[in-house]
Amino acid sequence: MDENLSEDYLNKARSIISEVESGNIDAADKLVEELSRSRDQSLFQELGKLTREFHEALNGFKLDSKLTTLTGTDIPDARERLKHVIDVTDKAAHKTMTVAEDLIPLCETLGSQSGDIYERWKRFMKRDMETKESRALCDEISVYLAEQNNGTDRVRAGLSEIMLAQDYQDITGQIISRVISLVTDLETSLVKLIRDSGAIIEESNRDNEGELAGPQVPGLESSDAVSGQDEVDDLLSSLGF
Amino acid sequence: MNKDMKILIVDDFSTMRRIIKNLLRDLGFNNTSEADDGQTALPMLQSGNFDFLVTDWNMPGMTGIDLLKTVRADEKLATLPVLLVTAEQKREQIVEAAQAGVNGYIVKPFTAEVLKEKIGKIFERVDAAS
Repeated sequence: MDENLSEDYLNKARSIISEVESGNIDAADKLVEELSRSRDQSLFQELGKLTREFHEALNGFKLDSKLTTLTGTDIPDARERLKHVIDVTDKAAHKTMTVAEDLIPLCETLGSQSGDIYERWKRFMKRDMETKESRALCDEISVYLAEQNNGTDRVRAGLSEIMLAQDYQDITGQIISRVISLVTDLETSLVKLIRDSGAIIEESNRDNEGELAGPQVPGLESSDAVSGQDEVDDLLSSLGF
Repeated sequence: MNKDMKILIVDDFSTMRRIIKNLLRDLGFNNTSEADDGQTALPMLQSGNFDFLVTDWNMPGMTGIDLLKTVRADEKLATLPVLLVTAEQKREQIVEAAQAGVNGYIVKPFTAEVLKEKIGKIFERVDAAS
């Protein structure tokens, strides 16, 4: 009860006593009525305060319904997005490898042809060649140059195809950034939910026994992981390999 | 080392299988086959007269380490050289692979030189033993 109210009570009580002592029963009656009215008023005030708090709590709970959206829509959504990342990177890798697999033999063929011609060309320059052979060499060079010309075009086209195939980085970068912000939102909501429910958040141990750790990520390295092939080799040789 | 030897590449990611296949081809090994996990690989190994197994560790179905253990327990396959190529680099896992009888362990990402060196070492030892 606040101070004003208790002072008000005290004043009214004193007035009632003095009115009764003076024999003014009617006036005293009126004061008693006022007193009880002011008590009701404070009750209503308390009730009003409670209602408001309850309303605010309910609103707060509605804020937590963000979790429902996160788990119901955003996470399945993120799953699809991440699957798309796998698809897109897979496609880009295969596209790049197809071009490389196509061009490597071409380079090998052109390389061995030019090597072959170069050897004979050196002999030709030293005038160490019969006219008949040099004529054949000229014909061969002519054919080779056409093939080389055509081959260079194919290599150039292939290289631009490889370059274009790298556009996945832009798309996957955007998708992954969105998933990162989703995970951040989810973390915030979950931390709030856990705090609201009164639980204590403890730092969890990242290393789960018996579970495969997968690729090491900078900043999240496992203390039990080696840092590269050299350390693997050292470990294996210490085991007698 | 016989360049015509029959090699099985096991990895759940087709891109990684393709990379390994290309690297092996660059090293002169053209006789390769592929499987996407241990379960698919095992019947191939049992019926296919493979000379060398290159496998990933973390795969759905049967993992590489289970495949290795199954191979070592199989009378016909027990001496098959096995190279693990994996992103797993925790000490206890490397030790586990060693104890299970792996012949070589490469961590991803790796280079063509590392692959060449490990295969060279494995068959140096295999050839010395035979």
